[in-house]
Amino acid sequence: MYTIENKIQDVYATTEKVIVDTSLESEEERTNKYLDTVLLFKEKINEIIVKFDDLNESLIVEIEDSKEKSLYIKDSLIDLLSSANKFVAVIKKNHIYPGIKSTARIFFNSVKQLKEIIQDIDLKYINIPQNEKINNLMSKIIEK
Amino acid sequence: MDYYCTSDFENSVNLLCKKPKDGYSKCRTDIKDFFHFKQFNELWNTPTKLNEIFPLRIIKTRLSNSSLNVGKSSGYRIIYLINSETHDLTFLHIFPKTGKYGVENISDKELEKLLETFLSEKSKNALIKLDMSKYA
Repeated sequence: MYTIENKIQDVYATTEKVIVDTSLESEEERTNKYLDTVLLFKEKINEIIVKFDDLNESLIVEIEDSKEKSLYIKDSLIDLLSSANKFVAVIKKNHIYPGIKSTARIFFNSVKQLKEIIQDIDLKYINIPQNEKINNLMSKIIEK
Repeated sequence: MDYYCTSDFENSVNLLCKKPKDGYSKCRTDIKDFFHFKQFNELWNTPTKLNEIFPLRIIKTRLSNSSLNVGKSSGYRIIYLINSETHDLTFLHIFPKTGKYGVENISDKELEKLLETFLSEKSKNALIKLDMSKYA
């Protein structure tokens, strides 16, 4: 005889099974989505790293002998640095950051390198030429 | 060509090499690997040329850090003074870009101090002569 107790037990068992099944399913789904997002992010960041490193290497050569060219491109480089820093902030705030840390660090270093290149343009073409002490010291060294 | 360094440079290298856990212990080897077999012209023309008053150039260049297994961009920066008449090269300063002693860059004020040290030690014949073949 199908008593109310059996019915309760049946519904209870079914509910428990659904809870277990759905929680397992959603956990698995969540994991898959997380891994997919991590892979996609890593892929995108790696694409940017390749472009940044190529640009940085070219810039080191480009800024070597042309003051006009270096100062001309400096504003564009500052815009690029600003954009890259925004992306750095986005990466650090993202919930997947722990999963992409090693790739992100390489990108952060590429951004630091760009910042150094901009500083070098200022150092080489603005600060040092205006620094009389450095130029006097070099003249004294030559006299020695 | 002859290689020299200032006491500032030597002190920095000693500090970097002191503790292997800091990730700079192969610093001397990295310096030797970069400089030992290079010809004068290559070192004279290495970027980045920070300043030039003939026959002197101040160069800031990038070295990889084999202890941390990182390339040039995240490795060391070395500042050296090179003389195209005497073919002398003097190391003025070294700093790592990353790790415990990581530094962003050098300023013109710091460069002033490095040149003052160089001038003072050169006047006293106190620059340290380096044998690159044994530098490690």
